[in-house]
Amino acid sequence: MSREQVYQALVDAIKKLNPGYLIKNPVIFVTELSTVLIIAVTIAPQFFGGAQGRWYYSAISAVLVFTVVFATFAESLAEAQGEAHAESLRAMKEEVTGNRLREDKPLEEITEEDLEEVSSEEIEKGDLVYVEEGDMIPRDGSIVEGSASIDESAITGESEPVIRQSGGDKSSVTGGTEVLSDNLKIEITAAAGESFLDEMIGLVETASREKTPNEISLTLLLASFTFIYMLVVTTLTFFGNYVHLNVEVADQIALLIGLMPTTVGALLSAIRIAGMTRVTRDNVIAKSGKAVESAGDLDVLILDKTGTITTGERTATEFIPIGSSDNSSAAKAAFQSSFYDETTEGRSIVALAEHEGEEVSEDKLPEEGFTEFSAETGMSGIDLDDGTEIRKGSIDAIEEYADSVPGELDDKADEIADSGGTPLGLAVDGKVVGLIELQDELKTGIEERIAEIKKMGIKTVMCTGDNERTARYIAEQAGLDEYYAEFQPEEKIGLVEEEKAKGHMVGMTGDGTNDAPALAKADVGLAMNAGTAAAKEAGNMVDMDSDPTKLIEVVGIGKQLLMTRGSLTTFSIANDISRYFALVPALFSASIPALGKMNLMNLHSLQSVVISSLIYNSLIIPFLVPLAMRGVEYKPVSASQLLTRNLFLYGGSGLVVPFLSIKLIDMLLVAVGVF
Amino acid sequence: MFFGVVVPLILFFLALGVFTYLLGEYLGWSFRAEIGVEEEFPSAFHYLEKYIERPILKPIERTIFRLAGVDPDTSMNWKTYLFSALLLNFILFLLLYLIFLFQGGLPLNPADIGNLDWDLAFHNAATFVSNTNQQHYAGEAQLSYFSQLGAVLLAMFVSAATGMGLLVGFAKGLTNSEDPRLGNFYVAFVKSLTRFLLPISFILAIFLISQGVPQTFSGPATVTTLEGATQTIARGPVAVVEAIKMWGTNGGGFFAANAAHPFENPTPFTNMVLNLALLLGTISNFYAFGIWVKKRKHGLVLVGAVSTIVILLLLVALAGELGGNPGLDGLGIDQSLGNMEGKEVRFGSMLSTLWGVSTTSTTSGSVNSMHDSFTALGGLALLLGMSLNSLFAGVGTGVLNLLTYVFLASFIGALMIGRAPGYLGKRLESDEIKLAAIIILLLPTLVLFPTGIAVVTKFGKDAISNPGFHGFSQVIYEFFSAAANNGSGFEGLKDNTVFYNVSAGSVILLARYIPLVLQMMIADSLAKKKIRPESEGTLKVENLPFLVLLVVIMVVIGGLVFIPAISLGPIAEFLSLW
Repeated sequence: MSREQVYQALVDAIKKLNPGYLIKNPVIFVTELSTVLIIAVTIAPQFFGGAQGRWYYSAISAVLVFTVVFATFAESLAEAQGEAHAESLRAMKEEVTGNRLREDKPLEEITEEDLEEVSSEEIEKGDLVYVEEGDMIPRDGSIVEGSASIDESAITGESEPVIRQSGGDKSSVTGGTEVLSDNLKIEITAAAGESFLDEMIGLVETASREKTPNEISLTLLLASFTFIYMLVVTTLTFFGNYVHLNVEVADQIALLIGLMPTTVGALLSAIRIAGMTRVTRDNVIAKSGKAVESAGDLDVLILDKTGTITTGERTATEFIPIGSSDNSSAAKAAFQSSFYDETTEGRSIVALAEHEGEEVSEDKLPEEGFTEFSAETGMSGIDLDDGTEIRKGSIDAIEEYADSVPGELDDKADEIADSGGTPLGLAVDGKVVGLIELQDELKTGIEERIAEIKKMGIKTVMCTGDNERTARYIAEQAGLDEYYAEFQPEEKIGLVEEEKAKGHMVGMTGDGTNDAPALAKADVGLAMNAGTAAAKEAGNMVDMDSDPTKLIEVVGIGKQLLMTRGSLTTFSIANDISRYFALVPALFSASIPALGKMNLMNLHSLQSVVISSLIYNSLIIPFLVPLAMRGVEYKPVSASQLLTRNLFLYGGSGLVVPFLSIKLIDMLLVAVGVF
Repeated sequence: MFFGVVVPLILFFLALGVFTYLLGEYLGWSFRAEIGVEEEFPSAFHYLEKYIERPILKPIERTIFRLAGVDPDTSMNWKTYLFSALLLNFILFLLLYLIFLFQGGLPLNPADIGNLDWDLAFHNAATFVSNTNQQHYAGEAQLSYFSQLGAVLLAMFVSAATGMGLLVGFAKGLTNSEDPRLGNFYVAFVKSLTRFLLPISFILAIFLISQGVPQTFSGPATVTTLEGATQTIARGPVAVVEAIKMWGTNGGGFFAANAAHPFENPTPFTNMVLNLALLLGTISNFYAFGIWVKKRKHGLVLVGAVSTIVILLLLVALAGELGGNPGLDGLGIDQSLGNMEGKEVRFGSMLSTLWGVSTTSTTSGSVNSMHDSFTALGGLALLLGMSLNSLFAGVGTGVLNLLTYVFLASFIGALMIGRAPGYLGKRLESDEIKLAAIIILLLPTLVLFPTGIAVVTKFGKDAISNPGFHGFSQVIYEFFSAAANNGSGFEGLKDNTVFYNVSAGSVILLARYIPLVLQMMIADSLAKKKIRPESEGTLKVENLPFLVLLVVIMVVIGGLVFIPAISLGPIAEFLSLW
């Protein structure tokens, strides 16, 4: 973070001292009121029965001022960090111009005359714009016509260009990205200031203002503790009156500040803002803080097989001869049928065949003989010049096409499906010659990720349009809990509702329009940026990288947010124990010498105890800011282990740290001659 | 020391464990139909069902419902449920107030005892209707038999059954999934009486009579002593009152000396049995609660967490009481029996301390020794017990009180493991936390505020019999006893004044009924929520880490806030003397 940003944060911290603003944080608000009171005591000690030196009251005032400023500074520092990220995004928005169509025209008929160049700010929602190679897309929109390869690295950091085309699930484009080839007609879907960039920037601002649901609960709880401590401290005046104990206002304030959970109170906003920033850093836009919090609480994840569990690219792994044909004739048929097949599958078949020593000169394979795959026939293939027909296709299609079906075909095909592969049949002139085994590969590291998720107690459910055998194999390989085979995207909504009815918190990813209802229904619906506008609208998070596995990371961030809050609360509450042992005897022993025996820490004097305790209180805030911003380390272990660990770590340190620190500060103050 | 203290204590706690299991299972079984528990119960319970429940209990209960015009099948929402309980209590309150006010003219008054003043009648009605039983009067001298039986005894049953009835409704709410119906209050109320309070009190009363506790309607006996002097000995229907007094965590004695009086508690044996009874009346609820929420181990964790604190307090108190009073050291007084001031010789300091800690760790408040005479450390332990809202507290309400801390522990615990807060599959959101937060701040408010007023006003200070730190202890103890609905007296405070009757009486009512209302609101809000299935990632409420967390929360949030105030009483006194 730059020097200016820190300076700006400091200025903001001072602005946040406004009581009207601070009242939202009751603990710090009461701290501020106490500060005002102690300053009044410093100015006119006689009105408050202050019998100790003015320097003492001044010292308390100074430490308290620092405490409040540290609290507001923690918040503005977190804001600044979030702002810095937003700023880098905002830079992309500048100086983009767009070519607006004067009237709608088919893409190929568009000429220079049909276009007017306008700045991106002037473009309105619903306008049609034309972009071609080298242009920046002026604002978020949906492709009406055309397809193009687009560099989205500015937004996603992914250098590999992506293909966007009209219709279907890949029709949406983001403002600020660059067209690398071809041209597009785009309908602008976001009004000025409402693009995803704006939303991302807006999120940082919203997150800093709005409390998340269980932060509200926690604030209420802390407020009630604060009320109790105020009561404890103010009634001392009455009690002291009876037992002839004089506790000055200044010392009462010191006790109150010591007992109140100022540490967690000061850091709550910073924890929240930092949590949101972590999400944005991962290139995910969360539409609300609540969504991030919910992510930590998910216990069912509905994952698509393709793209999430597997790479989605099926590649050929083996040729299996059928009937009288041998290995090489099957490989040859596979090679020939796929030579002009530009799909990933086709290319992988050619690669495998070449690997197995197959080579055929191109002139023997007439390009005009190539038949592309059609849904009707379920096959693709090639007709050679000598009239030989070579076909590859789904087993059903090949069985239909073939003159006779050898008995072993179904058995071998089932074997492939059992191992998670997809079988393709090969036929030459109506005779089945072999099978191609296609395998959809698991994403690297997915098994470990799934294992981690399971340790968190999250159930993983996979959906796939594949058949039962393939689905089972992949689910077993990846270690998933449940799977649904031959599953239509439209059925997802039912699945989400079913899991929710069982009381689960459901998270899912989606990109298509038919995913939208389920995305909206899920507790966390992570839409892919490359997906349709409807999906992005429906989800409560959007992943700019369009990486469905991101859902798992978002769960981790959500958990971290909650854990940081819980751990610092525990730390803060455990701190109180030391205050009772340090402050209570010190405050009372002047009037009741016997209580001096409670001074187990052997602290120097009443004044040194009060000042040391307040200094500790104030310094612990900046000391813990890095932890609040970074978040408590999350380890995927069982709930019980995690509780034991954090209870020990944060409860234990909350108990010990203040004892040591207060004693140390006390010794230090004595050593430098303050007391 | 070993045979006098350690062995009896171990035997006592063993017996406590065994009976907690037996009575807890029994209580859980008794309300299995109301809450819908399909859990397994010990096989012997089949006989109970066959020979007791079906032929005896059910017909009796059906008859009561028919006579009272209660349709046992109508299920109530929280408002009706709570309103039924409050209405019943309000009517009882009025009845008690009128009986105390006019007892002089009512029957069963052989000793010709006069009416109570309005303020004492108010305090008395408040204290008995709320299961508190703080006594600003001497029973044998100021209450007629009619008041003892028609008012006190009745209230002892009704107040305990009210607590149990509400607990059953709460437990139902926790097990409901999106269903606001908490069952029928009257059914839970009646069954608390027919299955839990009446039969066990009956057994206890028979036991007490066998041990020589009087049960008679004759007036005081007049006897000629060996020296030839004439002595009037108060007696009456003591055994029945004593039984429910202990079993229903009531604590209001027939005699002013309470269970120190030989007619209430004649022998060390009765003492042990009564001490067990006063704890079991409420501990068994915690165990049964575990059954009701389908997590026996959670019930055990609750018992374990509170027991941990109780045992620590007992150790502190024993250190004080067995150690004796250093002020007497140089005077040639044998202190080998510990601090015997204010204690009965037949019980000795160990049994008196055990009772003292038991009674302030529940809302019983009965005493078998004078707490005012406890050493500072002993007195500190008693005060700390009440400062945790009497730990095991009372029949029914004990679990409800503890649940507030359980909610806080679940809330913070769930956050610590990165989950949204919940308890038993129910989400804890700002509505529930808000209500729990109000309940938490109620006890400090109701103790510290009135104590503050009392020690700076003339009315308050005049009643103190022993000024200084000890006098401060007397006052704060009075309000702790009232606000925790405990009812025990530190004694020494001349508390039968308009000021203390009205202030303590009001504190008692507020401390009893505000939390009940808020707790039923929580019950409603939770009942309407879905139950989330448990997974590896859910906060477990049935293991050691949760127990530790709960103890820490109770001690730091509940107990330590009173340290500054208590420092001025027993702690200052202790440190001045030692």
